[in-house]
Amino acid sequence: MTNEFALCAREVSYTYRTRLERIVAAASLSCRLEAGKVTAILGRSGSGKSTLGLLLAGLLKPDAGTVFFVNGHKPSPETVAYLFQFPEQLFSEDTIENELCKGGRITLEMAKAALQSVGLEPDNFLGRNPFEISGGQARLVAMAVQLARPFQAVIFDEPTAGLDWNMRAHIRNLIRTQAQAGKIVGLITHHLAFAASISAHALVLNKGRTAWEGDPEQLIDNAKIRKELGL
Amino acid sequence: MICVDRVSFAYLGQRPLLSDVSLTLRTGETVALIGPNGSGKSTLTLLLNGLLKPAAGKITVDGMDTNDPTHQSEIRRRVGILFQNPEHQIVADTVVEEIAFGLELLNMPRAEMQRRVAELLNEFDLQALAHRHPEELSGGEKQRLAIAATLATGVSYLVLDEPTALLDREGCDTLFRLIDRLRHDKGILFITPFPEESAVAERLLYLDGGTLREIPQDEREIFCAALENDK
Repeated sequence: MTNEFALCAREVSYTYRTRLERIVAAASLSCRLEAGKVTAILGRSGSGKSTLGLLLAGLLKPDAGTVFFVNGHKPSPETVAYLFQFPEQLFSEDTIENELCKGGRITLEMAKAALQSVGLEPDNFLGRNPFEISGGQARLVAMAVQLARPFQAVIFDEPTAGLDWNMRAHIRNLIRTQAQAGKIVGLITHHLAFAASISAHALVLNKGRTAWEGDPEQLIDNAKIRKELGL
Repeated sequence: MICVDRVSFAYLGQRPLLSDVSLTLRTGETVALIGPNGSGKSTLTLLLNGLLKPAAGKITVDGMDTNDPTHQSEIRRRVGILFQNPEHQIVADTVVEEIAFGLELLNMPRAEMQRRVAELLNEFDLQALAHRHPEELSGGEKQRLAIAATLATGVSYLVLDEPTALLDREGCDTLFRLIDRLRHDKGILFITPFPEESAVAERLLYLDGGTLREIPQDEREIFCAALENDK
């Protein structure tokens, strides 16, 4: 359905320049993330998954090519929420309410709604110190911080890293809920089985290029391609 | 042998995290420890090499009590810990200096130190990276470096605290091959939030609600499947 709202990258390239080398993280890469669906972005470490996520969120500017919503708007932190790996490490306030409302753009009502959306009861959490809750709860609070404001697309970068089986299931439901609410959802992960359980469409990156695209269920039974792509 | 005998522990002002926990770890065996987030797995890790002290019960490493300050240094030399994020334990400016760091603390003669570092660079396939800054390594390379540095001082026991959390499939495969190489002369405690990964170990322990129990061999498969499916 090409007329649906979507976030697109068209032939984007990006190269990191370090002291010793130039690393091509995106090489003329194109993709389309449609609203109402979870699009998984898979690949081995260093394949360019997070770089593509940052380009889609407008946090990195491509060296070449364009990233755009189909309505012509450019993505930016105003329109794309980005959940970094271990987002709870960015906490800087001593109450969850202050964490949610820092910057002044989030009202108390928005903060409460965001906590409820991730499954945390506002009355039990707003006044608590984010450094004194469990690791799983901290991950949910960090997600609420990003999801509290209006956005059109959200990129989850390894959202279940370090979490147990119960929390992985909870976060899978949370991601699915975002898609069901009509958002554009990108899911960056190493875990093919997790991706297949939640998304019907996946890109597999290799050296900054799209090496495979399709239903991730098809990859589960294809050991040869999985091995080639490091999955 | 590491012997944990009826150990209890609570952080200051908090409810008991571990209650009457007992376990043994011998050299030449690999034991998996699984449990939900917040169950005390990492706390148990810190108790094993004396970084934390039990509130009740006793922990001995090759007969040395972790409560005895005269044994602290030797216990820490014998029990190596690999933390979930290897960046949290890398301190030096180059790979070779990182491996040598622990040996310098032991005042090892320079010639012997150089020989030992060369052995480890070779064993962990790090020769080509010897003079690179650790920040320039991939996640899997950082982890290989952290393990090499941990093993440098001749540890008898290796505690791997959720070592696959940041690794892709190939990184996990490399780690499991490494465990296979080490398992014959080290005692390995492998902590993981992925029940299926516990297959790497001969024994399986489950920590939840402050109590630890060993899962009988003939129940392991069903137990792990139930954890993954009970969501």
